[in-house]
Amino acid sequence: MSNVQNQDLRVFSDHSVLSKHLFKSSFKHHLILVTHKNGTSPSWLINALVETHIFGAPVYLNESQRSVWDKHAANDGEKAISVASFYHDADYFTSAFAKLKLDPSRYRVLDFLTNFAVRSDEKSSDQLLQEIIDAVGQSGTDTVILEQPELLMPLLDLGSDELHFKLISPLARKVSLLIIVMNTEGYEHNDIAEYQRRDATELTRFAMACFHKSTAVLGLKPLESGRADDVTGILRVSRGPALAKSFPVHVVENEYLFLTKKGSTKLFYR
Amino acid sequence: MASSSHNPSILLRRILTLKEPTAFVLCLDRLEQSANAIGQEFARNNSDAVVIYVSFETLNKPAYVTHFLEANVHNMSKLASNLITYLPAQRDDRKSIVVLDALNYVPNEHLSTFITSIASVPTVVVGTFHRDMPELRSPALENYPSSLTLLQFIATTIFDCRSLPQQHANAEELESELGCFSIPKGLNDPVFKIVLTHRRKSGRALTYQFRYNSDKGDYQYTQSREEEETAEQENMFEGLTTFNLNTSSRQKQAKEQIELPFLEAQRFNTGGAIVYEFEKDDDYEEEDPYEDPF
Repeated sequence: MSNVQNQDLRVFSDHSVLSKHLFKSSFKHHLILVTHKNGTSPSWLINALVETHIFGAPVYLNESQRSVWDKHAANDGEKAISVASFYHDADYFTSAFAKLKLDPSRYRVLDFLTNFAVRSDEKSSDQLLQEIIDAVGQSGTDTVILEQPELLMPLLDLGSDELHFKLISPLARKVSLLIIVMNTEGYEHNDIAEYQRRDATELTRFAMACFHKSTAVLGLKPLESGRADDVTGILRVSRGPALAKSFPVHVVENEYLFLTKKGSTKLFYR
Repeated sequence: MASSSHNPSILLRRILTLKEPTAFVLCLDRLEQSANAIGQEFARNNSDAVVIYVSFETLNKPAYVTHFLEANVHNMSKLASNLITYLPAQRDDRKSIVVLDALNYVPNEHLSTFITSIASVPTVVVGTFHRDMPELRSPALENYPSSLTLLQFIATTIFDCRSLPQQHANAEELESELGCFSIPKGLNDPVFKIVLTHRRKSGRALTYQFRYNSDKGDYQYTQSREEEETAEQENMFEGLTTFNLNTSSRQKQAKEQIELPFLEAQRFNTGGAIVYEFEKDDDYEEEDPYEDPF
């Protein structure tokens, strides 16, 4: 694989990962879904999306853009990006972003993991969800990466529809772009009785509703043939069902192989 | 099946231009193909109509919409009464279209009441239902029909949106991919297949397939596989011999009406029963009533 030429990540037809058209109007809102399975951690993709928001392109992932990247042409005037996680604490992201030498003033990390379960004992689920929305609103960002919000369902004893109506939709309407990162491992056994129980049905319903709201889907999955030394997994870029016909650019559907080694990730065409 | 008296394309055009009497149009979709374009097609064909869009999941107001409402599923009666205020008065000549983007979010027990409360003579309700979103059934409503069954029963017209077969390798692979929450390439294309089911007043349902291009707004009637197979069978013997080996429709009808013998034996639930009817020439002996007549 080392002899094969690396490929640049592109999601939209204007050769971008996050098209400028996503942020053209504050009245327009978009949702991009990132799915992953066990064994294909989305951390490198989250880093690439944060980089894209700050620099205009994922410069550490896309080699060709790194060589021509002009630091001064970065999106200085743009708003910061927020990363809100129910799965990782703030240190996890700040140390990763520090390694990428990202300017801390250009991103906010909202830690909804530390002590969140303790707070859930003191406050009602409605109050906690409102707090999350307010925290994002106060961060003054136009893009939010929300990692694993599905964990709120068992934690706060919420149904899928409740979570969508009380958190996902209000949050998506607060910002121009909401990126939801979710794990979809284990939802595919619908024929087994265990997976027809309430919890599993609600989780599947939540995932399906996210898919139907999405403009683009970035799906990470391991190799079907098993493990390989030179390939970690597959990244598939697909059109989302909610992509409007009037949207000026289209999603460039593609499948990449990716290799994560020694803290860096490279993409190759499949 | 298309008969000479029904032109499928004309029927579809009549439905889209609201000339065919229909109160509730159900659009079924899945991850493979969204039905968002159907609501827009209704609006495009009725430019003078008032279009009210009730959003359960859509984040942005579509350009073709007159009024955009965000739904609150916790108070369905309030939503219905709010919606009615946007509808033109009955004496108004203007037609109105209510587009509901995802009926999956309407609680099962409120579904029929909600639809019937907004569908009236000048108003056409175009509702989308995602077939792949699982529904949690309340134990109290165990014997009540599922939302999909209920909607299919209420709807007078059903648009079932599917991807074209050439957009994916095969149906089995597609099902497997979608089941693993992975969207294969080429789906949600502007060109897709519509399976239209329209119920006439008599209750007779007509089903046709179309290839629909949502960018251009044109639709093309395509034969279903069963129709193609029937047509192939009909022309099987043509040109093979100088004799006419084909069967006419009258002959086919007569053939279908022939009652085959011994069908009565198949009506027994437990197999092996002997059906015997005594006839005048049969030899019947008084002494041995258990003798096998055969």
